[in-house]
Amino acid sequence: MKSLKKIMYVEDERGIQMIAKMSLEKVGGFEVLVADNGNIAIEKIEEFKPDLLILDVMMPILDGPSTAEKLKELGLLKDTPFVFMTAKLEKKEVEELYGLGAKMVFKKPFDPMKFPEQIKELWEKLDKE
Amino acid sequence: MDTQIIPQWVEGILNLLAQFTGGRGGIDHVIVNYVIAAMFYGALYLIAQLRLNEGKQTEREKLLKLGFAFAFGREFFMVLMAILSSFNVFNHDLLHVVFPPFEHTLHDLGLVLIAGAFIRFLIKDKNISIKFLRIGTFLTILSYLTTFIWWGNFIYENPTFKFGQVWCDWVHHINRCLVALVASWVIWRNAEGEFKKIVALSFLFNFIAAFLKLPDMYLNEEFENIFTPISRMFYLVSIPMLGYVYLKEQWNESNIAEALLKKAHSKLEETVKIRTQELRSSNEFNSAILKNAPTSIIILKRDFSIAIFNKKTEELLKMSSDEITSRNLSEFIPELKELDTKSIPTNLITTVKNSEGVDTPIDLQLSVINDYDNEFFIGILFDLTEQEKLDKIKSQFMALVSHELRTPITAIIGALGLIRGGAAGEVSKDVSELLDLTSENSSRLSSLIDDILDLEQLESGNMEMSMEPVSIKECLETGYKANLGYAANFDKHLVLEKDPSLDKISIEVDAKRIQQVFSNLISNAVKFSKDNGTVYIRAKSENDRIKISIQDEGIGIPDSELENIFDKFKQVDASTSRSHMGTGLGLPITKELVELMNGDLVVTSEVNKGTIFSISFSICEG
Repeated sequence: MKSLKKIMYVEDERGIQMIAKMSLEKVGGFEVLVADNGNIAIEKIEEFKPDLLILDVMMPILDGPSTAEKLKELGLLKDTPFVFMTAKLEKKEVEELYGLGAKMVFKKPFDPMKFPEQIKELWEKLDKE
Repeated sequence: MDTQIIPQWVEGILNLLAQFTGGRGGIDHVIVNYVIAAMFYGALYLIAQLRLNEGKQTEREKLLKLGFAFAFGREFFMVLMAILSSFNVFNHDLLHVVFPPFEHTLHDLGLVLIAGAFIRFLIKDKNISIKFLRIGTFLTILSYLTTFIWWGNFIYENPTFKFGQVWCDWVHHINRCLVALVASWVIWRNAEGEFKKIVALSFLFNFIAAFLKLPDMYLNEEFENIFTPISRMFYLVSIPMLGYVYLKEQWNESNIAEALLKKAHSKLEETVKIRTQELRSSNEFNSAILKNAPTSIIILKRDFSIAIFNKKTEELLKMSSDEITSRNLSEFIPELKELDTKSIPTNLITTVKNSEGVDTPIDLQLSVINDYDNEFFIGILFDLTEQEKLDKIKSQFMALVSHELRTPITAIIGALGLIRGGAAGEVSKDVSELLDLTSENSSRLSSLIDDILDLEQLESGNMEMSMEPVSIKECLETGYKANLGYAANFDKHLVLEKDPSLDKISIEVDAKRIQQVFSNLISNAVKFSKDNGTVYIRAKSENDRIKISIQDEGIGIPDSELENIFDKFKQVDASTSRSHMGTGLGLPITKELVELMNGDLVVTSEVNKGTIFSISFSICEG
C-alpha cells in the first residue's frame, strides 16, 4: 500500500476545518483538501484522488454516512479508506458507522497535536492488513 | 213521749237514704253533692298520679295532684261526716263546732293549689302562678289560724252558746270568693289558648258557688234552700270543666307527641331516601370513575382471567366489551404466564398485544384487592406509547445538544492544542501559562458534557453495554498507560501491581467502558493524592472474582461523607469536587457503569491516609 500523503476532509464547520487542516498539514505534514459538504466532496474526489477520506457525521445537505454511501455507489471509494469524526458517540451510532465500512471513528473534540499521529498509526495498521 | 219504735240503726239508714232524695235531713245535707264531687276529684287525683308515674314530673302535675288530693279529702270528709251524722254518732252542733275549720282549710287549699296549677299551665309567666300560690296559701292559712283563735276564745267564754259555723263560714266563703275570682280574672286577663275561657269560667263558677253561700249566713232557711242548691250546682259544674281541660290537654299532648313522632318518622324516611340516593349515586359515581378513568383498569381473578374492565381497556386491546369478557389477560400479555402471583403487588414494563397483533408498550401495575378474600387482582395498564415518543424526542434532543456543544468545544480545544503545540509559532511563557489554564478548563467543560450525556443515558436506561471477554492483562495495561501521562501532569506516580498468573484470566466487560471506569477512578486518586504521592493499581483473584483496586495516599474521605460520594446531586454541588477540578459526576457514573457490567464497586477510606476504590467482576468461564 502506498504511503499516506493526501487526505480529503469533509466538514461543514469552518473552525474545525481550520484546526484539522492545520493539524494535518503542519503537524502531520499531509496534503489536505477540505470540502464543506458531501456534495462538494463527491465533486472533487476524483480530481484530488485522496489516500484517505475523513468525514464529519452531522452535516447539512448531505451528511457523512450518506456521503460515504453515495461515494461507494459511485465506485469512488474502491481504493480509498474512509474514517469518521463525530461528536455523537452513542454506541448504536458508532456501530452503524463501522457498519458502513469506516476504518475508524474519531471522537470530537480531538487533540490536534496527536491527531496526525493517530492517523499514521491507523494507516500502518491498515497497511498490515 | 215518743217510744222509739224503729231501732236507731234503721233510722240511720233511712236518714242516709233521705240525703240522696232530699228528704228527711233537708237539702243542706244532700250527700250526693259530696259523693259526686269526691268522685270527680278522686278521679282527677288518680289521673294526676298516673301521669306522675308515667314520668311527667312537672311542678304543675305535682301541684295538681296535691290540689286534687285536698279537694278529694274535703269531699270525702263531708261524705263521711254526713254518714256519721245520719247515724247520730255526732251531735250536729258539735260537728259544726269541731270540724268546719279543718274541712274549710282542705277545701280552700285545694282550690288555691288547683287554681295555681292552671294559672301555671295557661300563663307563660311562671311568676304569676308562684305569686298566686303564695298569697292564696298564706291568706287561707292565716284566715283559719285566726278563726281557730277567736273561735276557741268564744267557746271558752260562752260554753252553752250554740256557736254554729257562722264566723268560720264567713272566712271560708270570702276566702274562696277572693281566690276563685282572682284566679278567674288572672286567667281571663293573661292566659292564651283554647282553654283560657273554659278555665276562667270554671273559676268564675267557683266564685259564684262561694258567693251564693254568703247570704246563707244570715238569710232565713227559705232563702238558704233556694241559694244553696244553685251554689252547689255551680260548684259541681266547675269540677268537670277543669277535668275536661286537664284531660283534653293530656290528649292534645299525646297527640302532639304522636305528631312529633310522626314527623320524626317521616324525617327518618326522608333521610333513608336521601341516603339511598346517595348510595346509589356513589355506586354510580364509582362506576363512572372506572368507566372514565384515563387508563386501562382491569379486575382480574387469581388466574388472570378478566372479571371487570373499563372502556380504555377496550381501546387498548381494540376489542369490544363482549369479546374481552371471559378472556385471560395472559393471552394479551404472555409474560403473565410466568409471573408468580406471590410477587404481586408488582410492576412490569412489558407490551400488550391487541386484537390486530400490534404490541403496545405498557407499564402494568398489579396489586391485590385485599377485600373479598384476596381473590382478585387489580391491574392498571398504563400506555407508554406517548412516553416512548417523548423519550425518543428527549434522546434526539440530547444528541443534538451534544453535537452543538461539542462542535465549539472541539474548535476551542483544537485551536488551543495547536497553539500550545507550537503549530502556530512560538509563544511567550506568560501566554503559554494562560493557554494551559484555558486548555485545562476547556477539557473540563468537555468532560462535563460527556458526563452529563452519560448520566442522561444511564438515567433513561439507554446506556448499552457491549459485553465481551477482556483479559486482565490488556484491561489493566491499557488503563495504566492511558493514565500515566495524567498522573505525571500532577507530579504523582502511578504503579501497576499485578500477579502475572492473572494475565490469562478474562473478565466480561465492555472494553471501552471499563477504561472509562479506570480513568475516572485513577484521575480521582491522582487528584486527591498528596504531592508526589503514589497511586497503586492492584489486581488479585478472590474466590471466582477478580478484584481490581485503585489506592491513593491522599486526604481520605470521612465516614460521614462516604455514603454520599455516589450521590449525583450532592457531589455536583460539593465544594471539594470543584476545588479539585472535577465535575463530581464521575463517581456516580462510574458506579452505575460498573453495576451495568455486573460488577461491584466498594470504597474504603481512612482520613489522611488514603482511599481505596475496589471493583470486582466475575471471572469468565473458559
